[in-house]
Amino acid sequence: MTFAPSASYSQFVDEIEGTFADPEWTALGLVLYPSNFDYSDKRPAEYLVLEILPSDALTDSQWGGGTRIGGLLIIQIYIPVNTGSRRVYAIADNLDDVLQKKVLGYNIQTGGSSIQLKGNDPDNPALFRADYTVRFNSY
Amino acid sequence: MTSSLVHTGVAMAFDILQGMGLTQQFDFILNTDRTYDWDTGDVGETDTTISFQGVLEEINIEQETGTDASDMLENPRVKAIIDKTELNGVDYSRFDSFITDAISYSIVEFVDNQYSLEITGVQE
Repeated sequence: MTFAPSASYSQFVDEIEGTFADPEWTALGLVLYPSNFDYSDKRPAEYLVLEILPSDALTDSQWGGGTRIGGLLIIQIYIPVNTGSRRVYAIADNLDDVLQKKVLGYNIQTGGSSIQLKGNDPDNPALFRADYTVRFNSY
Repeated sequence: MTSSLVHTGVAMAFDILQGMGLTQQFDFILNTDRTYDWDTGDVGETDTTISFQGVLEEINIEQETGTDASDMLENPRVKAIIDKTELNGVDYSRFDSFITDAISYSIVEFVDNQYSLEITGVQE
């Protein structure tokens, strides 16, 4: 039995962010920013923000000392207010196509997704926010 | 008098000033377009420049009551006065700085009276 090599946080982030450079994703035409990115001057009417939360890092000595990292991918979805929530679910379907139940490099495996409707964005009352969440683990 | 008449009058005034050689080119630099490369994590910035003819007014120390004179000497201020009809719908709030006479100025104030736009800059 072989095990995946240990990966650093940076390598995990590179692997996950690289997903959004794939043609399968770019063809969707959705505007996605990473967290900590200044987009306020030209904030579009609809966009997404990616947060990677590697919250469950542990070194598993029983399985050869490789580092296993698990956590959450949260994609904040912003759409115009007063337009209903159907657009949120349509975007979530797009996200499912590229993120849900996938196997990436370093044996990163993503699970099922969920959506939380968060309500109006306090920073911009013209926007409504929902969070799309996928749990991931590396084995 | 309707506002369109005033607009026409202001445009004529700027035309006359231009005919007298009293206007000059201002190159306004818009806030940069920022992009993120998902493959490498690199952040890219692209400047956009848009040019207008306008009148340059130098602001001297006496006009700036309450301003530290030494600061004014080290960082001269000028005002660019533009005919608003020339803007043609451009969102001037995205202007970040301007260049005129090969000198760069950071924009510190906009005054919009609906007919002309006064943009104050501090030499960089």
